[in-house]
Amino acid sequence: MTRQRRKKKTGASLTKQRGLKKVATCVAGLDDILNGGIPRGRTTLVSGGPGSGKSVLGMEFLYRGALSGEPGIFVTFEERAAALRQSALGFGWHLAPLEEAGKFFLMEARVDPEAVLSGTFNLKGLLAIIEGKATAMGANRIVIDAVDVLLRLFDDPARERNELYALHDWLLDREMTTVLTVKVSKDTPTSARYEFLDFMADCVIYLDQRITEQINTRRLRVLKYRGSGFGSNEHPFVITEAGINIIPLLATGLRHKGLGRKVSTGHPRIDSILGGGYYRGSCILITGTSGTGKTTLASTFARVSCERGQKVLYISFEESQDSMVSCMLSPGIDLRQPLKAGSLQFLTAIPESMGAEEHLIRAFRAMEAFRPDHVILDAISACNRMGSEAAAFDYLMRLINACKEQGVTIVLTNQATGLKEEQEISGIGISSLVDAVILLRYNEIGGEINRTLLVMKSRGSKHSNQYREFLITDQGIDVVDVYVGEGGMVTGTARYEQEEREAVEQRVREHEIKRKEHEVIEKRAELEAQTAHLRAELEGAEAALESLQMEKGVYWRGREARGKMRGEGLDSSRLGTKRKGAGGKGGPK
Amino acid sequence: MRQPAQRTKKEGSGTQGKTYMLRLFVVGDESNSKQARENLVKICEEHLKGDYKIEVVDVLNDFEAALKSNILLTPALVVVSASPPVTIFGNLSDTEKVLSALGLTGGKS
Repeated sequence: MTRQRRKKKTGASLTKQRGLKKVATCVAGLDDILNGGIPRGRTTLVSGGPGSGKSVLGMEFLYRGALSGEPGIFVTFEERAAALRQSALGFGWHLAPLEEAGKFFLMEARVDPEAVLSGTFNLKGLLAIIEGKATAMGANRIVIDAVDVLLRLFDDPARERNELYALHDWLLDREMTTVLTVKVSKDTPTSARYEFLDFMADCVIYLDQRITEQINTRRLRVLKYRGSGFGSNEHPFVITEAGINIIPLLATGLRHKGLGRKVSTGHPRIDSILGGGYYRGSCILITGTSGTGKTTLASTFARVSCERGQKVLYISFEESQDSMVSCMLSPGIDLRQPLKAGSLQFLTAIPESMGAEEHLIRAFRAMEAFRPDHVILDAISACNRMGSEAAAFDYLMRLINACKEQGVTIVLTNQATGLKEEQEISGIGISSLVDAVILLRYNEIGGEINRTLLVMKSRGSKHSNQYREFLITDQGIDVVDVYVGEGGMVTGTARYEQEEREAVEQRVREHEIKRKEHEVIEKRAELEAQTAHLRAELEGAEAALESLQMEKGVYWRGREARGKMRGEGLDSSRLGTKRKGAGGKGGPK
Repeated sequence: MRQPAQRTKKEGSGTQGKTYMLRLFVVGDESNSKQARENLVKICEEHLKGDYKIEVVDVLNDFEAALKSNILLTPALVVVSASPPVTIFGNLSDTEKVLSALGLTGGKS
């Protein structure tokens, strides 16, 4: 039984799901948030303060529909038709041909302020007109703009409500896909007076416009959607010259592509420091104080990539295209050629000129049109000037995410403000998205400043942990060999001096050794000479000794012989003593 | 499907003034429209001394006319002969306001 019930339930919810059909609004990003579009044959309420973009949203919905052959009616209670046509033209929406073709009808439903009110009335006239037009055009899309203006005529909340319910019922009966816009005060999403509109509508979208730090930011939020899921976050949006553009904060980060192959940074030594170069599709942060060569390093990459036949989008918040090109000529990086060839494109803007969303949309648009392999963003520190740190974070997060989703390499530069770069390395807190960090630094030694380069982080590859001296020459960047001398790393003149000093010491030492070697040879020669002399003396002495001993032997033999001959043995004791002494002397031969 | 145009014309005593050209927009036979029709006839009889011409337009039959005159609220009375034309919305239950709009303020008193 339980199973049956469950079956029934799923069946019912399925039909409900099937019953809810959606109409794509074709407003960039909105359909993603609404999981497909607004409910077909039902009412969608768009509320927001003055100038929040309600009319534009409605107009874009109808215009895009009309272009694809779906006729629509736009009823305006507030603005004049001519003004609306003009503003539509500002977005490049030519309404006139669509109106002529019967695909679009703009109804200026302004009630003459001079009109006299006498007794009760209702909206039937309006409905008759809409019905007549809708039938004639075959339209089932309608936008009723600024319904609050109409309601105000009734001057009675109860009647307002009744009339609006009547209108709503009428629209539902005719299965009109309706967008109703209503102006509400800035502070509350819906004023108490029009709260019932929220209950009435099947889908409620709230548009908000706020000024933070002098910069206009727009947000869109779906408050309700009967029978459908939706992205319930606040979604930033912009009104560009092509209409509304919403950036859904949905599956951010889930569609990242893996890191690609390594690409050269533009300098073989930096490549080897990084274990082969930058990973394609990764996010590289070049950070350092002003003038350490961040832009030069990034431009080198741009130039080399373009030479390889890849496309680079250079987003510059610091300098104009012309000034960038001429600045880079000095270190020998000629960007004119790739610009001319169309492989390099600049996107420059002053951060303060627009809100973060608008910057983002511009970047996305450029990426879509240009399809770059690599994007350079110079500098993320400037993004803070887009309004708030939160806005800058948002901008960067989304831009990095978009690049990672598309497998586009993104090189960020960050201007650290102090010498405490280490703490600022993450810039605006995006460190988790950054795959490699290159720290450029000034080293002050002996009254001069030298640049050093250190790879602080490089995901997925080995990298050198050594500070390297980094030079900006007329022929571009260069990196000096690892310093293998004594003590810590020294750079520039100090390194030169240190090396010279060591060389001198080395020479002195070598000289000393040579000298000592000579001395040793001489001493040895002297020793040998003296030895020879002494040996000669010794040999002489030995010879003399020998001859003396020989003489002595002869003497004794003579005495014995004489003794025998003269009758020996008369005084044996005396003789014996004498013999003994002589024997001791001559004992050893 | 009611009578699309009901004309009531009376040649009366006062032909000296201009003829009031009145166009009444109604929606079928809904109650407000009925009342408006009745109220208008009454006012005309009492105050215009037959010097008027009423054209009744049912917006359900002729929405183009309503569109042309920008009739969003019904019932509505347009005084075509006035320049510029004056529009009165409602079932015309407030006689004073109607008279004032017709330029006959205090005409009854």
